[in-house]
Amino acid sequence: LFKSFPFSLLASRSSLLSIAFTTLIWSVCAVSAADPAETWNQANQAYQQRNYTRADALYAQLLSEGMYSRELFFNLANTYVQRGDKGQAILNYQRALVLDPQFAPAKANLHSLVQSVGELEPESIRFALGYYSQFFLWGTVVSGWLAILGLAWLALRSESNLARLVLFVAIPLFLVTGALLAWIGPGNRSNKLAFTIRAPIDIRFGPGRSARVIRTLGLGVPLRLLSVRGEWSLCEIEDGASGWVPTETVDTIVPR
Amino acid sequence: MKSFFLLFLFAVSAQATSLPVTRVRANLSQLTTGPGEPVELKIEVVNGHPAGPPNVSADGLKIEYSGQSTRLQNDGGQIRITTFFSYTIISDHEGSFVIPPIRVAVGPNSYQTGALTLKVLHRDAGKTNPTSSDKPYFGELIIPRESAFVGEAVPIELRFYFDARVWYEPYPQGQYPIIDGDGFVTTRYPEPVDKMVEIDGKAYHVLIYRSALVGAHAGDLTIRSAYQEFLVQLPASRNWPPNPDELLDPLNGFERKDIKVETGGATVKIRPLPDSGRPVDFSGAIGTFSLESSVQPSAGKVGEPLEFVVSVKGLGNFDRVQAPSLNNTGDWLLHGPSVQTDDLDDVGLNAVKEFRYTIVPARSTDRGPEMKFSFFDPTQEKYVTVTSPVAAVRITGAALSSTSPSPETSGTPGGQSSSAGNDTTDSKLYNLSTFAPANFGFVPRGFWWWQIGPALVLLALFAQLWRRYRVGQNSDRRRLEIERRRLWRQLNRSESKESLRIATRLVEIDFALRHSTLSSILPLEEIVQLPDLTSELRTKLDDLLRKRDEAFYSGSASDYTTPSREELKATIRAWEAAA
Repeated sequence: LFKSFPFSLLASRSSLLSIAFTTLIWSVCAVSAADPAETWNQANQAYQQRNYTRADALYAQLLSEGMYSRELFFNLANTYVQRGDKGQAILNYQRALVLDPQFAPAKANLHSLVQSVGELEPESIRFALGYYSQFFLWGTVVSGWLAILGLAWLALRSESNLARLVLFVAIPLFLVTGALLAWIGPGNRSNKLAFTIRAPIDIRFGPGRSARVIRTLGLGVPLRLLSVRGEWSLCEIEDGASGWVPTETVDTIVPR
Repeated sequence: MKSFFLLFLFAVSAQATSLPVTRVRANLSQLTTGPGEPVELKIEVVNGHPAGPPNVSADGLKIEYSGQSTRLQNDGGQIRITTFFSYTIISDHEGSFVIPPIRVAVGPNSYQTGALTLKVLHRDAGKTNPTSSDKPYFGELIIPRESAFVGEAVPIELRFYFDARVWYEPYPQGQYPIIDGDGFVTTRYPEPVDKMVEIDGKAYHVLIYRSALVGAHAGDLTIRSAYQEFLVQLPASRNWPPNPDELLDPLNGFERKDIKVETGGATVKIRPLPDSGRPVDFSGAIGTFSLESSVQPSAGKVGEPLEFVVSVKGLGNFDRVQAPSLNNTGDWLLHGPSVQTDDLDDVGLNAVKEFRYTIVPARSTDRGPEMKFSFFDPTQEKYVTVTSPVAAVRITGAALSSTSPSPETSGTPGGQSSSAGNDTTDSKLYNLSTFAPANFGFVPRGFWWWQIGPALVLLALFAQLWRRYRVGQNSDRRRLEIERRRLWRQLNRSESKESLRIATRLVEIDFALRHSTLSSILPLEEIVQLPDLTSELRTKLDDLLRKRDEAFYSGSASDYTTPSREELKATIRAWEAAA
């Protein structure tokens, strides 16, 4: 019996050793990998104890593990507020809003913070719609499918009123959501969207401090990052003007 | 007429009131000159009506008013009026002369230019290329300083001389000189100044480019040369006797060519900024600066926003001038600033940088915000911190309770304790219910998998459509085959004239089945016309048609002979065999 396949493997001493070693490594890895829930609780605790540096580090650890959520960005932004880094705070409130545009606490805090740095300007319609870019994507796709399926169904059952009703709803919806999608593109989920995290920032004609200043920007101003060339980044602001800013003064909405 | 006049008056007054801010600035045509060589001073008043030429005087300089001119410009639909006052300045001896700020009266207001410095050097001092009066063109680089600090802007001049008989223009147009060297940056070039000079009794045009040079690191900054390309027309020797073609050529006697005019090199010693005494808020500003401030309105209540403007004026590297910091932080909350820089000279070294804040008084006070600004003064070689004059204000009301957020001040989500302009945020911590990573990308996770469902439904619908088409095709064929069998049976039984109609129909059905024209069956009359039938078959089919028509449509029973069943079958078989 012991000469049959599985038992013969077990009977070999070297095989047994290698299995034991693998099991040991596996369990060590499992223990050493931090539990995200534990890290989250520790970060919250550090925040409560006003140890903002530690809280920041723990939240950043969760971020580096890709544990993105609106609550994480919200708490991280609060930590930045406490540490006096308003630029990063604005950016992280914006991130929370990208994940949930209706997240009222983030909206309120962002409004308050932006007001406090004197950059409270009405956001453009395109920027406001940009939070809902995924909604428009889904709207276009779903209405597009409904229109195609409605047409196919109408070809099968030419007398079907249901197919006519579906087409009556789906085609205008497809046109509207499709047009909006074409206009805003990825919106605020674009990996080119960035915000100023230092202020004031001089936006310049060329990548150098001696280049002429086009405009000076405050904190939390949205930019479109066109190109990053080392210490300088080429970006475009909302009114279409483009110029160079130091790379460390801006950060993208999509965490890097 | 009266209403038209009033309307005109209104339009004129509206235009006058919408005029932009008045600006006054002064410029020297050259920063350096030689003893006895004149330099032009130009005072520019934009959008204002100055009372007259301002008085300009400076110790050691002979300054003479030389004239006034006015320029009207349409600036984006708005008329801009610029008045220029020109002065000629001469000094008989060498030295560095300061022209103090010039006061210009414009209407009820008085404006002031920045101070200007003119260096009068010995003819060869500071020049990198000895003037060569035997050449039709040459270049000259002038750096009036031998040393500077890292980050300090040193004004420079690039002069390109051309014999008065030489026509020239920068080539390509709009091209600015290139300075060959490392370890420095230059500021932008304003439009070059063109003037006439006399060197050793010979007249020259000189094109002067001004800029400023900023050393990037300590050490010797060596400029190897600077050059600019020009397109020139030089006088050329004529052939004698002249060729008739040459006489008609307008460029005869001139040689047109593209040349590179090069200056000599220079070395400037760049010194590091001292570490000792460097203020914490030093932002890299090097020069001589002063602060001015104003608060509008000067009276208000605690929590009510006011406008506060602090201006940094002077001479230096304004691109490194950052917002001054607030001294009396307990009294005021600052929001902003918005920044605007107005250059007072062409190069941007003499300027006013204005920081405009919205300020909120946190408690009752009679002192406006006090700002401080630190810079390095290269003439004194030390760091200087200046404070803005404190404006007198009258703020009343109870002090704000808190000016900084604390983690305990949590409330309902979105609810904030509203102290005006405060940084209060909702510091409530939210617990994550799940750690499932949210997707930050534009295309949601699983997006393409979700498309499989409707795609399958669409496939099913297409399959249904195809099936229906095929079934429809088959049902027609089946119906015709059944009819054909039935007709054959009837033909076998019938001897009457009806058999003629049956035979005709059988040929038509056979044709439809063979050519898959199931839904529209061709009548025999058209089948007979088909070109690919043999003549024998066509004759038989014609005969069949004729007999059928005679049997059914002639009206006389005696005129036709019913063919036998076998004859008809033979005709049909002949058709089938031929088909």
